[in-house]
Amino acid sequence: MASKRTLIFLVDDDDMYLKTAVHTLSQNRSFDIKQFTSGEAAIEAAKASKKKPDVMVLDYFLNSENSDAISGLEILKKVKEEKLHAEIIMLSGQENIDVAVNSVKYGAYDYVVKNKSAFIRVQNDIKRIAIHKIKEDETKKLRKFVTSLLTLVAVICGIAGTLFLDPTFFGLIPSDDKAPKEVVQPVDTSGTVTDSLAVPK
Amino acid sequence: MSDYKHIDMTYLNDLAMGSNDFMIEMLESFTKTTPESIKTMKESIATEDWKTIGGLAHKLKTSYSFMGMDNMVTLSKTLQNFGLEGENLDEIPNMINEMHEEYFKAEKELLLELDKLKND
Repeated sequence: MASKRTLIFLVDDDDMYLKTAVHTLSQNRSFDIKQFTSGEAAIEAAKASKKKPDVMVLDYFLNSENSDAISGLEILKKVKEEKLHAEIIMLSGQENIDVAVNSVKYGAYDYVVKNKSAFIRVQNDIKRIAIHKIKEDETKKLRKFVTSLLTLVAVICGIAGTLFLDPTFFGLIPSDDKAPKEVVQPVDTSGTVTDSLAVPK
Repeated sequence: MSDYKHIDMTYLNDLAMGSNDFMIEMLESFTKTTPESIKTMKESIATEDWKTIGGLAHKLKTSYSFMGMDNMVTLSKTLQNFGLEGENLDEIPNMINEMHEEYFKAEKELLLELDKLKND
């Protein structure tokens, strides 16, 4: 299977959690990780960068300390509105059914409670997303190749069809400029053939 | 077998995957930011800024779990809910004091562990 690096944006205003997430996920050598302490900064970076993130791991409660900051759910909505095409994994410190339902409702790939198995689950989610993206890219490439191939076949068929309809192409019938010119004899109304070369009196 | 009474490094050790540098970084970060957060919480009682208390408790909860301070995780969870929901406000000052006392008991062990890691 083709290998592809996965760009991950980690967004959490909790410094210790961010450090731990970076340390854990960076064990996987196919992951490129960028960290942000606010969702706003992550969105700006995603919009500005040429390579868009494949995955964004967002803390639901991004405004725990700074009440002016945008929450994880708002960032999720913005990612979808801006069509950044990043899959979102929402992290939350507590098992709250409303948080889970809202996250999934607005298009999150998964909702993960920050417990002791959270990093393993996030890592597995990212691996699944990466595999899905590789397959999706391969399908796109294959579809593009098939479309190009069909276009080429259509063009060839078009040219061949035109040639087959023209019998002069194979020399079966001589073309107009090669065929002998017919001499049209003028017909006398009296019924006798007149010499077309005769000089009129 | 852990020699500590107030902390348990098992979870952090698992997360570190053999990296002493990571352990040191985490312990240094925890011993620096936790007293600051507790201080801010105490100041927020005077201004009745319950949301700030709830928000800080939310962050501390995760940090305490890394240090294996399970009783502090539970306390932070309750403090977070009280602060953010604005409930049982009269209980909040005592809870913060309890957190403060527990932290200082744990801090001795944390600094001892930090020292061991640095000398490894």
